[in-house]
Amino acid sequence: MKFKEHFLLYTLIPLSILFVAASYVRFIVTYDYMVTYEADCNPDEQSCFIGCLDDECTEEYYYYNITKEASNLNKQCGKDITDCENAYICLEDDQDSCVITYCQPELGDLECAHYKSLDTI
Amino acid sequence: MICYLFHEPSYLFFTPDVPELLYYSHIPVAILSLFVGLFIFFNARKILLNKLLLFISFLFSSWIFLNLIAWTNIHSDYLLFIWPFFGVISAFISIFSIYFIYVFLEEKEPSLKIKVSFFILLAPVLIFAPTNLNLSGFNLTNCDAFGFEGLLFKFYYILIGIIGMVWIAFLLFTHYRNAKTDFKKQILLMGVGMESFLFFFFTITFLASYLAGIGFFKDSRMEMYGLFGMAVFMVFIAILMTKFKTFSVGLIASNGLVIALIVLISSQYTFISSKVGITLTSITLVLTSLTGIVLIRSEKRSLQRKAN
Repeated sequence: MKFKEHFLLYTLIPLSILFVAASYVRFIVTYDYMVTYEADCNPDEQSCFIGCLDDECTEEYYYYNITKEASNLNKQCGKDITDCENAYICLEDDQDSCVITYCQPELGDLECAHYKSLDTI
Repeated sequence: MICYLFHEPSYLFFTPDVPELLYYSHIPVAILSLFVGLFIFFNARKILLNKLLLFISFLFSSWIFLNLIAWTNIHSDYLLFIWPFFGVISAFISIFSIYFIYVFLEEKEPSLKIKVSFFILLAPVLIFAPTNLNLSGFNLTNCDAFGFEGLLFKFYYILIGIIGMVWIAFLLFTHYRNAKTDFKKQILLMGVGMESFLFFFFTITFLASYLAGIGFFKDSRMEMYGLFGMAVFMVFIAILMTKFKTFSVGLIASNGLVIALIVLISSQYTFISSKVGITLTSITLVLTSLTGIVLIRSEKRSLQRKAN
């Protein structure tokens, strides 16, 4: 009778505890997720995305995107990647999980700075 | 990982890197809903309807609190830890709103069958929220996870919101036809309040995060407008409480009005930045509070005279 009366309490509370524990372990303990960020790009050497420094886009900057596993990045640079050179290149221990993405108009990227086809980069 | 382009917040969620309206749209409505929920609960603790309203208020305020952290925190691990809560809390709000309306209309617990169907709807949200189906990564440059949200998961919990709105509309409509005139008015007030809360909350928060996810907007600031539905709902709850004694709370209309005025004036602190503005608002707040106390006391005296 009690179970019927408090059915939602008895079922949802354990499931909610499991949900919180799983989220905690995945995101805070093991860093089991990908991180992506922008890296400075030289338009004379690479095909770069164009970003804006303000809403009116009076000043532009050039970047490429880099994606890595958070656990690897944490080992390589710690919590702050600002002055960490390893954050902006793919290392051996990144294996296949590290991806650098340059601007490619043929894949739908609208504006690229000093674009050269990927074969020439 | 730290979002390297943003400032660390002070006092958990105060930072200059946020839209101007953020604190105004979040803090007053969270305080208002929690205040109404607690007030009703502590006036009649044993009534199930009051417990459910408090739980919904608590869920909504938690969503707002976590949302403020998501707007201002710069640590990817903490942000990703709280991100799955948005879907879970939204789904809970929808299901417990159906539960609340059911108890309001039937004045009894729903059957086990209905409770099991609530559980069946909620279980997938809790099971898949910490997985890649919901979130797979984080953008350190934008300091958000919109680009890594799983659409299937998002559509599922939005579907629960739609199911909630339709289910509630059906319950209200079927009971409205056979209700007495006085209860018909209560059904109408409760229905408009609850449906507008759910509609604004689910539609606008979904659109805001979806459009930010596909890059149509640079962030999800549009979601701030989705929170005002709760303020509308609380106004209807206050009318039901004072005029119809729906929650068995002995509150007279003037008390409710005075409290609402004080909350509204206090909410101006969330966007005023000039010293003149703060001074004028403080004077208005003190004068309104004093006038309110005088009004409530005289109302009490006249009620006592009538009773004698």
